[in-house]
Amino acid sequence: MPMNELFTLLNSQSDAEVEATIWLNIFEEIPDSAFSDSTDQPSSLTIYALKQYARAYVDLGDESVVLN
Amino acid sequence: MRDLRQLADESLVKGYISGNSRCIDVLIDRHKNKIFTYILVSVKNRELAEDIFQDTIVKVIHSLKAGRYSENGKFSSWVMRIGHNLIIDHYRKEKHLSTVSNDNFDFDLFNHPRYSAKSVEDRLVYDQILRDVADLVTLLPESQKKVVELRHYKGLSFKDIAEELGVSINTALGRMRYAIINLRKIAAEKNISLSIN
Repeated sequence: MPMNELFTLLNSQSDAEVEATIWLNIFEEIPDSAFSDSTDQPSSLTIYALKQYARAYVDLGDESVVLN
Repeated sequence: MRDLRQLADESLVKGYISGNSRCIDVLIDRHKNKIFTYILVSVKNRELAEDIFQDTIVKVIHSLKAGRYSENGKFSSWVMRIGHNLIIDHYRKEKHLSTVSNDNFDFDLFNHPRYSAKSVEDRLVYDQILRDVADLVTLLPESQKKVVELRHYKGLSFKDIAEELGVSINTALGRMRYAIINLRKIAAEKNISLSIN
């Protein structure tokens, strides 16, 4: 795993990709519970819309459900 | 709802697939901060982070319903990798480069088949690249070389690396970032291909 991770990093197409991959590795090491009080969170409107979408999607099973 | 919050992720996933939409509410509430924070630190733009977060969750919903989630690890890690692929998509679209297919959102960058040698020839190429990378690593400044060795050759977590070197995690991250940038630069200068095709 670590060597594959290194190859992924070395084959990235930009420094931004490198950074996103390194961050991913770090975040995977941090327990989920560490973020329970995080102030960085999506807007409540986004969360509301996603929950409504998820509800409609599971009820209708229809990919034409539109996220507003 | 209170009872659902006591359930593990896997049970909530099964509940949602079975038609209990409240299960996805709990999953979203439980993991939204970590996933959003990861996206935000990667793209450094709140509006863009909101968009990518939204796309990530929509893909999660579609894939759960399509039965494309398997219990091979943590649910949050799986979601983070979907988000990661969307971030990479964004950067590549921005650079007008080829994109990672959105349809293959559960594609695991760290388990790409090209890194799994299937033939003797593949194995030889892979071994040569390993030697090339090892040679390149020796050219790095000592502090960067140490981080790469601990992470990629000894498999330590960034937390353990920080402890071992007596630095903060941010410093370890910074050294890794510069190490990778330098390795890529040196490989380009020396015309060394690190791709396994």
